[in-house]
Amino acid sequence: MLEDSMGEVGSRYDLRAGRSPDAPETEGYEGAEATYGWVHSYETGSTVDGPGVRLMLFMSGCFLRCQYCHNPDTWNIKDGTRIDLAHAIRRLGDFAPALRAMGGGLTISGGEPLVQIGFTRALFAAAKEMGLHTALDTSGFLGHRADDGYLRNVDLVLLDIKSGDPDTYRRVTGAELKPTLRFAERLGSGPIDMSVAI
Amino acid sequence: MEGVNLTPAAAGGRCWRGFEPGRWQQAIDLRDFILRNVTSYAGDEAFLAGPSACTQAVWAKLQPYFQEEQSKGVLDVDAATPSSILAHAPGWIDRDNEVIVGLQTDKPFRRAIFPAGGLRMVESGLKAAGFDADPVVHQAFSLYRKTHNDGVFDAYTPEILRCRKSGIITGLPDAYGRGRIIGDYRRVALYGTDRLLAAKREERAQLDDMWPSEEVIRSREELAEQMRALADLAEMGRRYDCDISRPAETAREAVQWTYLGYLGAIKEANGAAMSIGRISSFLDIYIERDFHEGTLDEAGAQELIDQLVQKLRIVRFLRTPDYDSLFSGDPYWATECVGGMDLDGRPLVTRTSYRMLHTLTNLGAAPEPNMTVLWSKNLPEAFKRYCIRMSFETSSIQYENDDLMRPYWGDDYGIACCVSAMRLGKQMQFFGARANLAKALLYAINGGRDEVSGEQIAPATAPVTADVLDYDDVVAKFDATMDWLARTYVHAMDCIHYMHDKYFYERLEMALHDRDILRTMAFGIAGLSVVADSLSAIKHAKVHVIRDGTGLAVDYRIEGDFPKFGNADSRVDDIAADIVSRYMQKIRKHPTYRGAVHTQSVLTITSNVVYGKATGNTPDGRRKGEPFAPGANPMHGRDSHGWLASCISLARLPYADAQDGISYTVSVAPGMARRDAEAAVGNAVKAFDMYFGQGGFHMNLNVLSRETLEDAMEHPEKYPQLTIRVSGYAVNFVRLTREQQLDVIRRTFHASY
Repeated sequence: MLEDSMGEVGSRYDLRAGRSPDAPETEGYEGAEATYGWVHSYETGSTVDGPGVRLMLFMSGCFLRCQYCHNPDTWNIKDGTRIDLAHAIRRLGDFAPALRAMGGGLTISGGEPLVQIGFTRALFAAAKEMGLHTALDTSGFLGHRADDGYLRNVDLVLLDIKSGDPDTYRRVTGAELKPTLRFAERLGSGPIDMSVAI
Repeated sequence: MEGVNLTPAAAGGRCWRGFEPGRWQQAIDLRDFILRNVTSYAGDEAFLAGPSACTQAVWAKLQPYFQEEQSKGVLDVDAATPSSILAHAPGWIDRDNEVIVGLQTDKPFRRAIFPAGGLRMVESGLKAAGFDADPVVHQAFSLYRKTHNDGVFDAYTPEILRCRKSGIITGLPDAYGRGRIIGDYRRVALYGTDRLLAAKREERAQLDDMWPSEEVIRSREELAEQMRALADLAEMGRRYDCDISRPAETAREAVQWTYLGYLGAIKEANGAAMSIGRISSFLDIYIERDFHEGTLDEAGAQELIDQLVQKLRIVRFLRTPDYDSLFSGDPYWATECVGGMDLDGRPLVTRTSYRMLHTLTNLGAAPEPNMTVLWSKNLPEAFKRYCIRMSFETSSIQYENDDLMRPYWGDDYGIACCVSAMRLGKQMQFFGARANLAKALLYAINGGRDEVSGEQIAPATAPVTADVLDYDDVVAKFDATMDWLARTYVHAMDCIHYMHDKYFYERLEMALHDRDILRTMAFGIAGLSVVADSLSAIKHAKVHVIRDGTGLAVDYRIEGDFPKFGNADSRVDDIAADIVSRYMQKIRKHPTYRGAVHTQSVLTITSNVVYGKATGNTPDGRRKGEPFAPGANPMHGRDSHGWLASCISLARLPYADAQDGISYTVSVAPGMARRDAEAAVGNAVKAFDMYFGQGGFHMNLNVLSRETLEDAMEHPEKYPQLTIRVSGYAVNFVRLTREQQLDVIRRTFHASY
């Protein structure tokens, strides 16, 4: 059953982490410090990814291989564009007055923002300094990486749990559900707003 | 002021009953009258009424004309009668049902000719429309009467002719009426022509003791012409059974008198833009008075405005094919401003502001009058929401930043054409075309040779000889080319307006101004985003030059990526802002006719297509012949980070150096508006407040999908009223040329609010 759903060799699901030699690199981005990051793209104008009008930043790199993924081109970190952190912060500053005027802010999505934890940590901190609302759009699979210091600069977590059933979760995403549930529990006991999608 | 300074009762009599007295009674002062008498309205649109039976009857009579025009183009022309206030007998559409009367000629959709502007243009317009020229008119205007067009070409230099031919300066009003003058038509209603004549006599008498310098003589002659025009206007009123020699007594008369003033103006002049001004809240004062007196109800009030708008929707001028390619779809910009604030912070929104916009519901969407909302963050929330809803439904409204303009132009300005603000009755502009800055950049690279023809147009200078463009080298050469272009451009404009005043003077529009007014001379630029992106490519990527056998740079190859205008990226936005300011400084160096104040606009109307057609490959990767973006818009598809990013870039362009306006047209797909209309309206209001709060000037908003437009191209008969905002005005989409339709479809459509 599981094997069937994985698709044929060479299909897009063949890149699932742990199964393929071509799986994306997952190491080297866990550190607290970053001077650059790999970014897929950004977009303004969204009104559905947090309060007000949002700047959406799509990071490259994800550990899941969801069957229905809308952005498989964000799976591999280095398919993105390498952006200096200082440049990213300067660009965020370009938008900050307009975002504040519309009661909006920064939403980091992906890919999975918690893959490049150092980069997104610094961006969230910069956004808070600019007086922006911040939102983290995550699968929660890497939730353990987001320490309390990280979450202090996040106003809203958009947690995409995808499925509450471990088998379904594994089939759909290629990964385990447990880390996500642990992250949800942790958020549930804290002060951060959480919006859950299943 | 003897002879003019009548007591209020004697001057206005019954006509001014119930009005708050003030300075407006002693002098011609519309602003004072409005501020003392206007009733702001902060409520919503629930009070509005549908079209009356009379309105519907008149509208039904007009439909066959609209349909026939769609297939035939020009329906009828009176080729034998040069237009003037009294040239044509009065005409009606449906006399029993017309509450507001008056036509341009004796029949609806019958166009008039204006040979004083230029005989050749009249005859080429007639020919294109399939009508014969009149031999008597031909003889009169070739043998006995010189035209504006003749005069201008007497004064042009060979250099100007070269620039005109190469297309680096296009759309000069040397062959058509300059327009962009707004008579204060409200004066006819508030004062009547007798009182206006008395004031003009007084202005004339003040010149009697002055030594007859050229300026004084000209002023005396102009005042004499203005007085004749006012007398003619009164006579035209009589022919429609309206005694406009006295002030209006009722709301119906106020609408009628104002319209007759406007009608006189469009019988005298066929300007490219013939704005009506800012009449809604003025008329509201009369409507409120009739309400208090119990002589008018809401249905009656709406009927007045609907019928006025019906008249404005059937105004037609005979144009030439050249003109149509620049300004497509028969526009004439009867721009009407609604909203805005007064200087004390009170909204000038009235119920009649709503009634004016409500004509888009009662009569359907339409390009004219060119509905212009003066946006302030302090406008009543209900009005903001209503405007946005009407935009969602009709794509027929443009928005301009009152908070930005008010400090410059006060609280009684109108918009001439698309984006040109001017104090009503106190200011006019000498309009003039635009310079193609993208072409100027190519001239800089090619040492003054035209990249398409190879001809030497600008004075010969050293071309770029390197294989890769160097930013500092190109900027220095471009700067010098702009110096030359600005000088040539001002020179041409001075010739044009000297001759326009001499041979095609707008005597009635100017009669509805004070004698001593502020004149601006409005220059323009096209291709701003092409130039900004080109310079950005040269600076941030590597641009290789490809030359033909004669050494002419004809194409470019870009290596690497570069920031593009429209993405809130200051690395290129600063270049765009710098070009605007730099070119304005160069324009300001050269003296203007009649000491006009230099201004400029970043506006193209539909001429972005024509400009693009005449311009070779550019260093930003744009291909030869491809349209420019309209106005100050980012190039099609290059503003890839959403509407917010585009808005931020636009808001960075300096209004102080583009006081004639900065046009920005936005198309938003209707998805969100369909899913949750109220939430979408709320988001749009916030977005507008943000954009204008950041210093954005103009928002020409379309809410429609690419698919709708594509379907309309295939099946125009299904979309007779499909209206779309292009750069600064609105058109019936199905009346654009195919090229222009494709251009509109290629523009960026943002996802939604």
